[in-house]
Amino acid sequence: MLAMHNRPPRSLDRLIQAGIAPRRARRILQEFAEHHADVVAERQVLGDSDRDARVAAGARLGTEHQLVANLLARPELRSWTHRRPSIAFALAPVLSFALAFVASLLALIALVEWRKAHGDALGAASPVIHRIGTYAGPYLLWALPCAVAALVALTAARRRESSIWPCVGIVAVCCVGALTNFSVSTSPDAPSMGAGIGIGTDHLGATLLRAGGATALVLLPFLRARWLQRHDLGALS
Amino acid sequence: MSGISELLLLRLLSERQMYGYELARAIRAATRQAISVGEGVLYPALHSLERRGWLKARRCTVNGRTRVYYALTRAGLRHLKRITQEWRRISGGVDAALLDARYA
Repeated sequence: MLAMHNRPPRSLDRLIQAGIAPRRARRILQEFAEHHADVVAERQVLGDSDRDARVAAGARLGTEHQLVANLLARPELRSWTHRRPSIAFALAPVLSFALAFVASLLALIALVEWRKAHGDALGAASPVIHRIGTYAGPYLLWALPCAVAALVALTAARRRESSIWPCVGIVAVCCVGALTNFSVSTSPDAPSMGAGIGIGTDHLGATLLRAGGATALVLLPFLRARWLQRHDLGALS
Repeated sequence: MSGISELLLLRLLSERQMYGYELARAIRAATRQAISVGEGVLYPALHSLERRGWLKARRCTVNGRTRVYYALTRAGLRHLKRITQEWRRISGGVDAALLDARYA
């Protein structure tokens, strides 16, 4: 495991920053270290001292620096998120949020229909309607956009991507999330649900507050994490 | 050289699945040590072939050590047939030129 201990501390970071997926980058370095250990063991069986075995292993495998250079010379190993950051971190999250919003609404409708089919009288006092009224609103209007934006932030931080497109994506998801609306009417005659997307001048303040709140909730920790990553890398170099 | 290593890797993996160290030994044995590539170069090549869908990787723990075994996919097998034909065509042409008395 000498190769693991002697690994230049930035090998993994260099690979990830160059766009190689973190899982693949870790796997390659692990395979390289295991191979190094196998060659050392092979040479020791042949009678080499520990030091000679390690020198021989280094000569056969090359250095980790050379491995990294070889990997960076292969553009096909770079992930598509690195090659198309605008799609991966801005467009796809907005579409994913829209799909998740619609899927959640369909799930709620399916739940109501299923309960009706089983003979539940879904009046205003129904616990199902009450639960939907209590939990679905905060979920759809706050938790869902924040979760999608947080996923963008986590993915970008993990892949050490440039912050520009992830920031655009986070702001876009939070703004689109703030434009959505959802309501449950518990009118005794006919309880109903309504959802949509749009902006109205009467709710402009609330919309801006939601957009700003969700953005701050996700963007500030993300920028802090990126700053710390850059600080760590700077300290290592 | 990258075309040759690709051909060799696919050919050897068409016989059985292997991990990196095994493959390096198999290349030396199969080419009677005529081809000696830095063993570290195997991994970029293997991952590139995997990324293109010609190999699949499977992680196993053997005697407490993590091994990543590589095996050929169907697409890899088709690609191997294609590049083997291409290699035979080219090497046949070079052999013909070398054997031609006019160029000897």
